[in-house]
Amino acid sequence: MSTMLQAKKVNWSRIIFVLCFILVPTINFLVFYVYVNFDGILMAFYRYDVNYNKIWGLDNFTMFFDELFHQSNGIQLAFLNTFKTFLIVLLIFPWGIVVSYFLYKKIPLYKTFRVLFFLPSIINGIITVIVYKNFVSVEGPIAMMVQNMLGLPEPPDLLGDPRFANTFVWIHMLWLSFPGDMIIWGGAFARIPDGVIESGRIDGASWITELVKIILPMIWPTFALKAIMLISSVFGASGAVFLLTNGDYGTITFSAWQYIQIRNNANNPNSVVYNYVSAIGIIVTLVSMVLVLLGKWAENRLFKDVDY
Amino acid sequence: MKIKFLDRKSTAEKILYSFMFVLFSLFALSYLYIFFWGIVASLKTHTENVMKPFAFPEVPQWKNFKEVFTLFTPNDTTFLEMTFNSIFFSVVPAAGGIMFTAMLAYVTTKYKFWGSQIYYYLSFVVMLLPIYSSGGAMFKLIYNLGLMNNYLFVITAFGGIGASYMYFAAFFKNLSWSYAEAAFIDGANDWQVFFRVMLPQSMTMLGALFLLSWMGAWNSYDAQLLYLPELPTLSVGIYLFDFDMKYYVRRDLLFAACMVSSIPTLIVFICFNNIMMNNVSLGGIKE
Repeated sequence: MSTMLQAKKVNWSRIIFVLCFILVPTINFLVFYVYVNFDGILMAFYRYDVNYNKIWGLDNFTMFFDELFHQSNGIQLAFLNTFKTFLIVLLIFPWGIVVSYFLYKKIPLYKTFRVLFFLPSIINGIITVIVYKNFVSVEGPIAMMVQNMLGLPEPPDLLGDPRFANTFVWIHMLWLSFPGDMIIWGGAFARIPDGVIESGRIDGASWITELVKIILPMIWPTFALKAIMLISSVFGASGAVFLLTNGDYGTITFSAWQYIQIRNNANNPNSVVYNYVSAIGIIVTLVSMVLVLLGKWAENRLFKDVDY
Repeated sequence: MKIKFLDRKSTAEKILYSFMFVLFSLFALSYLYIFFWGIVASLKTHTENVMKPFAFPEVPQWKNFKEVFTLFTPNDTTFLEMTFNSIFFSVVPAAGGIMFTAMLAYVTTKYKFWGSQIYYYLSFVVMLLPIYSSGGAMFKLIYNLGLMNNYLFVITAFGGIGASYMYFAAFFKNLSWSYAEAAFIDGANDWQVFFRVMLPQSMTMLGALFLLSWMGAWNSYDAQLLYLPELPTLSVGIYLFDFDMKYYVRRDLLFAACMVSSIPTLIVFICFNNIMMNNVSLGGIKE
């Protein structure tokens, strides 16, 4: 009896230990994630009148759809640019695997490349933007090249001219994204047993066969996870628009638009702009949720039989 | 054992590897050039930077690096104050965030209690589903909590649910409990087991994630610009100096500040790049 009681005795020191470990992250999550998102949903359904009284309704949503479909303004352009940028992100994604593959296959100077390719991640984005802006400035070599190619009377302001600004925001993105997600892919490749690759080579597998039919199925969990994360980030696709152009000259993207709206109204935390931004955010989140579910469904459906 | 002929490549592969080598070299050189150009620009006078942005300095202006500490004062904040802010707003959130994540992942994978598994699913959702409607609400909350322009803003980083949780959870799941059992037999309590036995085994991954997180925070400008404009970090200071004073800014000082602010991340990267690049993996291998 006493043993049973002892066995059932509550281990308070262990409970305190567990509580101490989960308390801060849990409170942080409840406040800065759950509450914030809940409040964000609520905010989407009200606006303030002149006396700061809340007026509940769907005004923010109707305003959004009205602006999206009937008015030619920033939000239409923001979505259009976001989708175009996402297409570039889609291209960068497989390219990153190819780059990591050649590093994994120990291309000459691979160790040096690995270090140098990480530089864009460690250099402050503001610094790379300042350098890039100097390159593409009117006095720079690239503006002169464009002038000669297009026969323009004078070198164009490549980031200040709507004809070129988007292209040069994307070139900046492509330039710095060239190495892709080297750490993740490199980590996944490194765990593939050497024997698997060697037996493929003995069987005469070319590099593309090796990459697509041997390596990719082996790192499938990583690939699938990254692919779903990529799909979910469709509305976050944006180059360094805020730093390069501040969203001007036809370069605005959805995430840059959201950031600029919030920053421009930072002196008034009760601004109705926040409610409008929240309403659009809800719609966009719902769409990306559907995309993630579709992506997950496709992954399970289409690639179920891929095995090694 | 490696078989020698496997390393031989066909002509097509040799061409491909050569092409990739040239391409890799071009991009690698362009990344190096950022530094080279930055150093050259920081050694020029303001006029040289404006008139001849791609020329070498006639006389290297080493004084620019000295003047950064006295004349580079966006928002009336000195360079040393910005450096302190940068250190504070990068080290504290990175260290706190990673530590709380490791602690959460440890107890939820090694101690079974009601709700322990929910953190895994929450992390999965947070990682896969960015919620786009929270920007305004977050700003309001930070404002209402008085965290704007406040050093306590760092508490927002003391989470533990998200991508980093997945790394730690995978690590601790695979870490044998027999180490802990041996320590318990020797009389250690739960705290001692975690801090003296289990956590030290995750040090390489913990170090890698800390360094990556620290570098991200050191270079970050968007959240700081929004929530901490009066406590500018070096990144925010450079932004304010360049972008908000476009036509009056002394370019020589700006580039010197850029170069000086890059030194800590560069040194850390040179010293620890192997740790950072070899100890993070996501998703695993298909068996």
